[in-house]
Amino acid sequence: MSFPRPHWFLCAALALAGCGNASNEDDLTGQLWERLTSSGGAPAEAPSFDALRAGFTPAVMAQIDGPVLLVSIPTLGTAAALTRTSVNNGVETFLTADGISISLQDGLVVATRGLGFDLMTADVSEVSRALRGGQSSAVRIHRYLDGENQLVTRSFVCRYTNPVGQGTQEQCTSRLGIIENSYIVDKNGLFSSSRQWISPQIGDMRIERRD
Amino acid sequence: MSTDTRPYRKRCGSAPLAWFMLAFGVAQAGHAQDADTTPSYTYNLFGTPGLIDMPTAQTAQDAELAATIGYFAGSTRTTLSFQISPRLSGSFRYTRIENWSIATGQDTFDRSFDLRYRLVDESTWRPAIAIGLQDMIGTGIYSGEYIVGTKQVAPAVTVTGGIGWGRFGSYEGFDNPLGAVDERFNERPVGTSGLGGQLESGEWFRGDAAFFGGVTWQPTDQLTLLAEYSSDAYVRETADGPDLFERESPLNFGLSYAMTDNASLQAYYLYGSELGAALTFSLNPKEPAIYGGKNLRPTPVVPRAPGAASNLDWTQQDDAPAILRDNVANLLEFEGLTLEAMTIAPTSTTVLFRNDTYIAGSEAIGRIARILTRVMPASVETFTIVPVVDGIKTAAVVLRRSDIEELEFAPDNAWKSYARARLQDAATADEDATYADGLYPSFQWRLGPYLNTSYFDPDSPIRADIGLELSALYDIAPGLTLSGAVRKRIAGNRGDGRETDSVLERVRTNSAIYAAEGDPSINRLTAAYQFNLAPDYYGRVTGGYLEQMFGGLSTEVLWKPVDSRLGLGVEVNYAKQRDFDQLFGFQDYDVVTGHASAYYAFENNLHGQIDVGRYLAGDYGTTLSLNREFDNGWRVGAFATFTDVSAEDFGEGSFDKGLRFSIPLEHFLGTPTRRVNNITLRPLTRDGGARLNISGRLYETVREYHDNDLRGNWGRFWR
Repeated sequence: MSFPRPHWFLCAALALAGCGNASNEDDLTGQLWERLTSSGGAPAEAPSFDALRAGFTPAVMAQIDGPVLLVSIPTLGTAAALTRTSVNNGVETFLTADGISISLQDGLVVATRGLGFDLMTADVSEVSRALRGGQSSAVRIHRYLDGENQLVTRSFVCRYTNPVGQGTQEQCTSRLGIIENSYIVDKNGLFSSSRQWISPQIGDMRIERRD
Repeated sequence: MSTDTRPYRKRCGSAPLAWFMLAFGVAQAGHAQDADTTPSYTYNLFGTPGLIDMPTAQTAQDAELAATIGYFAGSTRTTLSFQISPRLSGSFRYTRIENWSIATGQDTFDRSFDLRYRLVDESTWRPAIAIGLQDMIGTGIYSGEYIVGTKQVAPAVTVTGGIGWGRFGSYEGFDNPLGAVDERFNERPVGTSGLGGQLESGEWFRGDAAFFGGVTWQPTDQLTLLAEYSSDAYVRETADGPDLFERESPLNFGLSYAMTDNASLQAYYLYGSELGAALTFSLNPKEPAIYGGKNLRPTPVVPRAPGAASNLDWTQQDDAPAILRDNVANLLEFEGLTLEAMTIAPTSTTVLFRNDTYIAGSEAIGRIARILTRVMPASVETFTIVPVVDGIKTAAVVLRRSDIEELEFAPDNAWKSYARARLQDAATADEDATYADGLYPSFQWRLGPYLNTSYFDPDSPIRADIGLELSALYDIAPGLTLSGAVRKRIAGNRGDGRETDSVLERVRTNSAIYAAEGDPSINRLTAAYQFNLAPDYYGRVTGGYLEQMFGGLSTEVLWKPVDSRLGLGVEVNYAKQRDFDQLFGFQDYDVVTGHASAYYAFENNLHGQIDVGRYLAGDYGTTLSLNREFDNGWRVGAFATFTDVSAEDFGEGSFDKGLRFSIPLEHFLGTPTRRVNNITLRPLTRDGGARLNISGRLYETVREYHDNDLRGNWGRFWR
C-alpha cells in the first residue's frame, strides 16, 4: 500500500480529526491509519500457546469456576484463555477478556464472534454422532455472512479415521477445498484437545480444554 | 457542491474527492490478503473495460466502482465507472483537453456520460456482444456509439472486433450500413442541440461507420499486453489550432500491470507518435474489508431454568424496576447502545434505545434481545425493542424470549428469528415508560477541522476551503434539539470562483460570494422538533438558519407504515436568502418552496424517489432519483430534475442532474461505526431545480428500522 496520494489522504484524515465531548467521537483517523499502514501480518505481541498452557496449572484451575478453553489461532497469530459464561441448549459459550466468544456443542465449534469473518452457525449434529458413534462419514454445514450481510451456506462431506496415537482425524471436502480437523478424547469422553477449521480467513483453531 | 444533510450524529468531514481516493486506497489495503482471481479485463483510457482507446464487450464485476485517470497528447480524462447491474454499466467522465479552442487556444473542460449494455454472453463458440453509447448527454466532444464483440480464444488471449459510429467511425469510415434501413442514418447531425446536458439521441448511430478491434494477452496474473486498431481519427485534436499530436498510425500498443487486486497501471504507445498512461483504482461495495465486521461479541443468551417463568416474587420488590433498568442500561452501554426509556411489566418489557454504533439496525436489536435474557426476571416473556432516531420511535420489534433462547445456535437461526419477530408501529410504545436519568437535556460539542470542496469550475476543476468548525448539539427533550455550527476559514480558494451569468434568482450560483464573504460564518443554527405524529405518521419542524444560503421554517409530514415498501411525504418551507456574510442578516429574496414525495423500495435493492413541487428559485417541477442500494449501507445512484425553467434560462447543462454516493466507513474499517459519507456530484450547479439542504429529513430517519431495510441486514441479528 504505497501509492494513493498522501496529499488527499492527509486532507481526509484532517477532516476526521477533531475534539469534542460527543460520546461517539471515536478515533477513526487512527483506525484508518492503522488499516492503511498494516500489511495484514500477524500482530506482534501475542502470548504463545505454550506460555498460556503453562499458566493454567491445577492450582490455578482450582480457583476458577467452571471450565477454561486455551485457544490459539495460528493464522491470526493469537492465543487466549476463555472462560465459560453460559450454556444454552447444550452449547457452551466461552469468552475472552477482549471481546471474542467461541461456542462449542459437544466440543465442536458451532459459532465464533468478534474475530471477523466469523462462523455464524454450524450444523454439526452428524459430525457429533460420527465422532462418538464411530460412523465413517458425516455432513457438516457452516454459515457465514457475506459482504452484504447475507448468510451463505457451505456444506462439507467428512470422513473419519483413527490413526494410532493421533486421536480421530476428520477430513472434509467442499467448494472451499479440503479441510482437516483432529480430536483427542479424554476419559470422560470430552475433547481434551482438538484442531478445528473455522473459516477461510480464520483458518484452524487449536483448542485445549481444562475442566 | 456537496452538502452533507445528515443529522449531526452521523455527520462526517466531507471532502468527496479526497474520500474517493482514500476509499480506493484503503479498500486496496483491506483486500491485499484475498486471493481473488485477477479479472481478465482492464480499464482503458476512457476508464471503461476495454483495450487502449477502444472499448471491448467485457463487463466489470457486478457493482464494481472504478476510478481511472488517464493522459495522452494533451487530454486528461478522469472517469468514474460503475457496473450498475451485471449487464449495464455507466461512466461519468471529466476531461481536460489543452489548446482546444481554435480561436483562443484555451483549454476545454468537458463532462461526459456513457452507458454500455452487454447484449449477449460469451459462450464456447460465440463472443460476448455489447452495445455502448459514449458521451451521450454531454456537449458531444467524445460522442460515439459502438457494437462490439469480445471472445476469449485461448486461456489468456482475447480478441475484440467492433463497429463504431461518431468518434468510433471517424477513421477509414464507410457508408453507414444502417442507411439501408432508413436514409436518415446516413447523415450525423453536427454539434450540440441546445446547451449540452441533453440526450443527443438524434445523433446516435448516424453518419459514417468504421471497424475497430484488438487483441489482449495476459502472460501472468499481473500483466496484460494490449494491441488495437483504433477507428478514432482525432480530427479536431490533430487539426491546425489544437494540433495536439500527429496521428501517424491507427495502431496502439500498451500494457496493463495489476499492482494489487484493486489498482493497476497502464502504459501506452499511441498512434505512432505518443506515449500515454493511466492509473485505475477499483473497489466493490459488495466486498468490505471484514465480512460481518470485527465487532465485540454479543452478550450470550442466558436461558431460564425450567418452571422459573411462573415466579413473580420480583414484582413485589419496590426497587426492582429501577435495578433492572440500571442493569440493562449498563449492558447496553458496554455494547455501544444507549437506553432511552423502559417499561417493565410482569411478563413483558419495552426498551427504547439509541444506536450510535452499529450500521446494521438488526445487529443492535439482536444484541439487546440477548442482553434482556441475561437481566430480566424469568416471567418476562415478551421483549419489545424500539429504536429511537432523533427522538422518533421508528418501529417496535416484538420478540419472544423463548425464541431467542431456542434459536441462539440453531443452524438456520437468521431466517427463523426474522419470521418469528413481529414488526409494528411504535407511536405509543413509550406510554408509561420511564426515561433514564441524565439523558435530557444533554449538550454535545465538537471543534475540528472542516474541508469544503467544489468541483468542475472551468478555471479550476477542484476548489477547496479548509478551516475550523465548532459545532454543538443541545438535546432538550426527546426529539427537540438546538444545533448549530460556526466556521472560520484558514485557507482556500472557493471564493475565487467565477461570477454567475444566471438569469434566474441566484439561489445556488452565488456560492463563490458566500465562500468569499462568509468568514467567519454561521453555517447553520436551528431548532428542530421531530416526533411521531400518529401511527404510521411522522412529523418535523425545523426553524432558523437552515443552511449556508437560506434560513426560514421547514415543516414535513411523512406517512410510512413499518412494513410498507411505499412512503409518502409532504414538505413545505418558507425560505429567505441569507446575507453573503452568513451571520444573522437576510437578503430580500424569499420563497415558499416544498414538495410532495413518494419513496419506493423496489425488489433487487433498487430504491426510487419522486419529488413534485416548487423549487428554490420558484420553479415548478419534478425530481426523479434512483439508487442501487446494498444491504451493508452502500448506495450508488443518480437523480435528475425537470422544471418549468427552459434550457436557455437554466444555462449550461440544461437541467439539474447528478450522481449520489453513500459510503459507509465500516466498509474500510471493519470495526463498527455508523458513519456514512454522503457525496453528491453535480457536473454543473445552477439555480433551476435547487432544493433546501435540511438536516433530519424524515424518510431517512425512519426507514432504517422498517421492514425492507431490517430484512436486508437481518443476517446481522445474531452477529
